[in-house]
Amino acid sequence: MVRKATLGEFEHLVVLAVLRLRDEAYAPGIARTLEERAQREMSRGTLYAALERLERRGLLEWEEAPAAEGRGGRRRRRFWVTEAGRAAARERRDILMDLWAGTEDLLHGEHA
Amino acid sequence: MSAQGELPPGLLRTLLKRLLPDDVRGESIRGDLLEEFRTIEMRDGRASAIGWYRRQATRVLVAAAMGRISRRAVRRTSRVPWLDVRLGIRMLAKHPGMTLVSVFALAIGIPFGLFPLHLWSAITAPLPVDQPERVVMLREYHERSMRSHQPSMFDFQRWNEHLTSYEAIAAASLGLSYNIAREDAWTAPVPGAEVTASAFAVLRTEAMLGRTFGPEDERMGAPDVVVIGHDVWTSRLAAAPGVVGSTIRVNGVPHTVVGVMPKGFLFPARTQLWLPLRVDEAHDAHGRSPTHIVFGRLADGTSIAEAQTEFSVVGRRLDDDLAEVHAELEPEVLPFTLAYLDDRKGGLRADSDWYVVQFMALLVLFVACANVGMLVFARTARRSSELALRTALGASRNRLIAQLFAEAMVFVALATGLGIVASDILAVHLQRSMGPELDLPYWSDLRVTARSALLGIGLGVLSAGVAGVLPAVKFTGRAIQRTMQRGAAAGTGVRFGGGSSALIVADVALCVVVCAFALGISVSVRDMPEGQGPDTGGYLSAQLWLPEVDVPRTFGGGPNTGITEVVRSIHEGLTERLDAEPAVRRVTLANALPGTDHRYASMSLDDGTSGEGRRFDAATAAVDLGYFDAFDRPVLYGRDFDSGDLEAGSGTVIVNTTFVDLVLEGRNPLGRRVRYRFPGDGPWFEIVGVVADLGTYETNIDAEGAVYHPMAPGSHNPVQLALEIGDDPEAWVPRLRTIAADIDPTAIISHAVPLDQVVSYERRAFLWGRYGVAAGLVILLTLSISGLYSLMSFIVAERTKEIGIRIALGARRRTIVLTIGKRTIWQLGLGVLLGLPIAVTWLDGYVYGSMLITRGTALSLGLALGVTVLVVIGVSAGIGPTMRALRIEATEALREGG
Repeated sequence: MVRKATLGEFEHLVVLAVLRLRDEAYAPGIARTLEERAQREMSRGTLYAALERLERRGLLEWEEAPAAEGRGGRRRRRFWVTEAGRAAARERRDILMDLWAGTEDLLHGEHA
Repeated sequence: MSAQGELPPGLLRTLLKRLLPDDVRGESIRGDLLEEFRTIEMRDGRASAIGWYRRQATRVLVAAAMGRISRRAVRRTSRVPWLDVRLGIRMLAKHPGMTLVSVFALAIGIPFGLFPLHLWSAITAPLPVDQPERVVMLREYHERSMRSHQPSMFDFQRWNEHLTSYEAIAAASLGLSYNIAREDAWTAPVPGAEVTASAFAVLRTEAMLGRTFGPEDERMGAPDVVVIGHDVWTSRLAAAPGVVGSTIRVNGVPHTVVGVMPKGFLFPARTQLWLPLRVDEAHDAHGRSPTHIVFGRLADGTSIAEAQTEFSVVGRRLDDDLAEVHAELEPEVLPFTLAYLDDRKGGLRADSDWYVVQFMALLVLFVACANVGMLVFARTARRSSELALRTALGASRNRLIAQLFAEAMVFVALATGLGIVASDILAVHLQRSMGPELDLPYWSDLRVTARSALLGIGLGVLSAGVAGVLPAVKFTGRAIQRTMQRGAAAGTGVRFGGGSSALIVADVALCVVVCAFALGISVSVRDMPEGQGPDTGGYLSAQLWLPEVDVPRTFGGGPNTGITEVVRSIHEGLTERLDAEPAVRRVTLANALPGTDHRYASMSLDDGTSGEGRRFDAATAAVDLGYFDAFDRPVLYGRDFDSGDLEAGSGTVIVNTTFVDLVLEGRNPLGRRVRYRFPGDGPWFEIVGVVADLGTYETNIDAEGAVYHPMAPGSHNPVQLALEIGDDPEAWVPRLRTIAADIDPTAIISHAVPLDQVVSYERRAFLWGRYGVAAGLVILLTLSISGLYSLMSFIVAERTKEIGIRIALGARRRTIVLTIGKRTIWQLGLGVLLGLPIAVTWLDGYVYGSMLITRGTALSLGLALGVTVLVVIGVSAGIGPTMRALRIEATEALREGG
């Protein structure tokens, strides 16, 4: 039986960023997307480690892309989420939505 | 310079390049950081960008250093450098000579390096029973004799009563043989054992048919029962389904078969028949009994160490009751297979010789690898320009080393595969042709196991390391820079060091020594059965043993003097019966037959008056009256033995002609006296006759002086029987067994084979030895030739330009040959000089043993060997490179030199 992949908090965010960027999911774009949401500078060490971890678990894949301007001729990697990655993201979303359900009033302090 | 052109801090960029993977992943991360650096630089200014870069690059470096960004590709890309492997295969085809030598050397070197460990694994393999690691042997070590003390049944009973660390404890007797028979048809004896009923529980083995023994079978006076082995059941009893409950005779006594053990159960020593071990307390309470072993199965949760502790405490306490008997004994618990073959303290584990042998074997492999390494080195020298070019194009040193390693791995893999397959075939052949004589424990199998194969592969990788990486490291260092600076034809700047020279000298010296060994062995084999001994064709030889009768043995040299009446009547009865058989032409008895190994003893000859004269070693045998006539070797001088010589104290001997030649140097032996020197000077024996040589050693028939004593019937047990039958003596074996069993049911007739085949077996063993020495010789010769060939090829490659200039200047061919061969010649000469004294000493030592060559001949032979080795190696190694050097065109060489 294949074990279901689960996503950690940060991995979940990375997968979502890659999904949102569609065909433009390069590492600098992923970092920017996450920083814009988090409103703070994000560690590139953490990001590349997470990308590698997700790739190792078969949730992400990448392909070589030609170098763009400003990279000193160095190649790029374009990422995409695999079917397993999408399934893991869906599952995490369902769990969160399930947990969130019925908590709106609590969040706004009505029964605090 | 525009802002676009500014780069982030150099140190961080260098570190990123070093620490990140050397592939598209590392490249893309560095590109990403640079891209973002430039974006921030344009947006917020350079200082801000540098600050950002420092922070982020550091975090990436930390992640890489912690292994969170792996240096290996995540994708399952192939790690095998197929390009290098393909190149390696191409190299094999391009240099067939080198390929052949390297593969041959390693195909023999790797199994050779592995053999001691393999043999160790085979003989210490677990017993083929359930949880074999829990089966242990219990014994007591005797400090003074440095051997294990044989436990008695009394010891067994006490241990069984007091020790609690075991699920069960059992005892077994070893080394027994039984005649088994069914419906009066006698069959050959089978190896058997007496075991306690608990033995089968310790081994957790049930009978395949029927049952094993129960406690009731152990009682004195209980009905006689027997458990038989699968082989006996199928081969001797035609796999009769109703065998359980039937009766067979064991040593003439009817026994009920109660069980048949499963196939492969041969405990403890290729055993095929088990009888209950019954304790005769009256006989055995405090004394010795036949050789026993005591073994047990550890209880669940008990370790060997715990069992040892208990045995030490309880064993010593028990010994206190019998201080006199058991003083100096140290209780010991050991894994069964370690203890079975070695009765020293610690069993086989205590045998430090294993480590020495293993070390020597690995040393041989290392020498083979080093020689192959020289070949690789020489080949690499010829490729120095290729390597320099690749370096110039950006190939890293590691990359080049990896390539040369991969190339070496190709032929090493080939050699390892060949070596493993050849070893397996050899093991099968060896076990088939010499199986019982090898005397391996029944749980041992010499065939290559998965573990040995894996170890072989491991050694192969190590060999590739020595043979491939070491030359590569030497070549890709500073030498490659020099090559690049000087240009391809100017040489590599690398030198064959003193180590290589020492290796070549040692190879050549060993060659000379091994040649001498090979010569000696060849001479032995050639002269073995076709010597001047009697024609033993048509004779049947057999050993007659009466296991239940003890004949006192005379300690040290000399024949047994005590006579046991029971043995005497059986011997006399048997010879009378055999004499009466129409098919038997002649019968004789001795403790050693012609052509088989005799006992050796150190003796002295009187000085012709009454004092002691010359000391010598001689083969000795005790022979029946009429022994010499039975082999058509009548006494040449003096007289044969007669019944008067059997009287106690008659003290007469007959010697052979070689004895007269060697010890008396041709003088008249009659009336001279000899005596045994150990233990202490024995009585004198007078020489009364001389016979022609009969052969005293299987592998060297006529070489030794022999002293024969008259053998009184009943004075030896076992004895060797020789019957002249005529054609097909083997067919007469069943009849011999029947007659022997009629005389005494316990009489064991074993080793019944035509007498000329006894010699043939020894010859076979010797031939194997000769093959081994021959293989060693071929390896050494090949390695020496290849080493020198490498050296000369290297010199030619290095000095191409110089040779070209010499040719252009009109140098003579002899000068060119000397230029490239000078170093080789002195290495060869030194090697031969070093090997020669050992070779001559060995050949000289062979003089006394064989009488085949004289002292002067030994020296001449040694010198001839040395010269032959020198010429063979010199010509084989030198001709190729020399021809290559002489073919060098001056113009070509100079043009290449630039």
